[in-house]
Amino acid sequence: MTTDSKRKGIRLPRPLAIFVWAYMVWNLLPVVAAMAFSFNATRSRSQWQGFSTQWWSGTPLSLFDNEEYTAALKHSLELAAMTTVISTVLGTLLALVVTRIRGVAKRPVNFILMIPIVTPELILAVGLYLSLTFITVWPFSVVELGTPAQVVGQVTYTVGFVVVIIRGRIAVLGDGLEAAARDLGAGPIAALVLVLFRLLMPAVLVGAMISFAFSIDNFVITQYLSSDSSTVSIPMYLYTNARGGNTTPALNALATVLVVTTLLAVALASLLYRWATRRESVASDVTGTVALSA
Amino acid sequence: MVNGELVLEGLTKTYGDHAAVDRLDLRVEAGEFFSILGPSGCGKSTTLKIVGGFVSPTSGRVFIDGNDVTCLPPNRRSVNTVFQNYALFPFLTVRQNVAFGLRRARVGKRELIRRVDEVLELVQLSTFGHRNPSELSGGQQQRVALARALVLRPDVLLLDEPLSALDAKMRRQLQVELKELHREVGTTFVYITHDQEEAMTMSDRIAVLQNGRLEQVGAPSEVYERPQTLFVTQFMGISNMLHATVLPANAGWVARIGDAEFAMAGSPPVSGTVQLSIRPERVRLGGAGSAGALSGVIVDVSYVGAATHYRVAFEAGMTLQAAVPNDGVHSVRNIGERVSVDLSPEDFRLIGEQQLAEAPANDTDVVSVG
Repeated sequence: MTTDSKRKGIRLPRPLAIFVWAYMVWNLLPVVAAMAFSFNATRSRSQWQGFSTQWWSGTPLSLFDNEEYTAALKHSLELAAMTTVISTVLGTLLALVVTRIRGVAKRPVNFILMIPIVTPELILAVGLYLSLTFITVWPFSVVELGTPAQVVGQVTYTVGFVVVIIRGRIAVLGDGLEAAARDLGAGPIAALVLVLFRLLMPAVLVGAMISFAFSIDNFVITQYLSSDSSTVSIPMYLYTNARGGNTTPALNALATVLVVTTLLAVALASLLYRWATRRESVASDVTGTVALSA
Repeated sequence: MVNGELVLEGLTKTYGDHAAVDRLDLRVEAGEFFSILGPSGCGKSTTLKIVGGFVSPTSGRVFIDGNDVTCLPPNRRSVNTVFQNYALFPFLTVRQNVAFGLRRARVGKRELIRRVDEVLELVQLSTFGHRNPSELSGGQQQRVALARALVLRPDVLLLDEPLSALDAKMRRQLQVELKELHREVGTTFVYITHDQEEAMTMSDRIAVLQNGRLEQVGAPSEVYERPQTLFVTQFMGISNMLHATVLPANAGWVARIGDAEFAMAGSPPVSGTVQLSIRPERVRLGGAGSAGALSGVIVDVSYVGAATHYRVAFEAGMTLQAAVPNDGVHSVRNIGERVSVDLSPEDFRLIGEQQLAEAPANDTDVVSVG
């Protein structure tokens, strides 16, 4: 009875359903194809000639055996690790402070926080590049192009997302539980650590995963703020080599690593959030935010 | 147990140029069940937050057992709060929630277990200790919040509309339980509510607030039967408001309502016209022809179970509401029926002047009816 009425309730018109399915396939096809060719038996990246893992490992040209690839992999992971930690810590602190701002400063602060998110990435990258290269006063003078500048650039961008996610969580929670902790004898620090941080944990984890996924994927900022060949990330390597003639399916393997890590990070964020908030009866809109930013 | 006397002195809280609480003076006796009653925005919640230590007053002081606690943070006051939305920690079990405050106070393990057991039994949740708050019903969550506050043996327990999120039946049940609990633990309860019936049911005394100001404080019967202001009269249940002309008399004065005149005791009011109020249950209906009463027509009948409410219209455009108990003695009347209405002068309350409220009239009867 119930399944019947459910089916009747949201029956899609057939043309619309076909359109949706077509869109799904269109979305997945290029990515799946690119990933599949990393397992091709020959050098071709367009003609399927049998299954093999040779482009992943085993030969000098394989992804995990070639210095060029592993350097890019390593550098990307390093950048992602640093960006994740720094932007999560900074973003959490910023969110805590920003939600406590009252009065006239509230609107301008919220607006300025959004600037890195709404500015075209290219503008942000160029701006950062120029600041770090030509401004000779602290702190611009100490950040050198290469890894330090790349991390600073990525954090500048991701911290805004972390703030938005955590601020949303704080808004959902309200200050009732913190007040309850104070009422029951906890000092201000104890209330913050025992109650607020504990409750913010899911959002903090989500923020971390989003930062990670962004960092791994990022091209523009990372490219602009790089120095030499030791600061080439996966996306940078792909961009420089993907259209060249001398490429192998190892490049597809590299791309596969990129896609899978990003997807894993986002999936993990969503799962962790659900797991950590499973005892809360209050539905929250943070999962919605995650879906949007992913 | 004599701890728990709460005194508020000239308490004021302003936001911009709006005073949420305006020079509030209150004395709550130790062990009292004291309600602060008023519509939303009357300042009752702000008052509670000031006593709890969550909001600091613009001026004025808060004393608990003679000690000035105005500047102490919430965690250093012997005051605990039962929050409106319960504010239970979702990541802790019922037991852990209740033990939270004891752990902060570094109570020894054995005593902690004993006190948690004790208080869970008190609120009848002994078997729910290992559940998560989200697995409990609203009423049960409310009891956990109570246990969590009571286990710390506060001098004053603040309750911020704790029953407002519950359905009517559960609310009735918890009202009774709260009263029993209060008798058992003997702590001072300060209860915030906007529900005058709830306040009257439960409290030893009630303070009625409006616009941050104290309107009246007293026992439920006092506040209900001898309201001192127009606001209290109208807020404490249904009241009929009547305009009366003041006429001089040999003893006391005479109130003229429509064509009827009533002999009132006390010194006459200064103004020529006054407002009188009378409760619907004090408006007595008689047969069509009975002498010595106002005569009107029933224009509306509402059957509410224990009583029937009638609206009676009079010729002068005045209407009165009458509540008649469905006790088998009074017969149910119909719309359009002509009735006589019997009012006793001692049931009238003079609004805005206190002499009548202090000393009700002795001579009762209606002087004349036109």
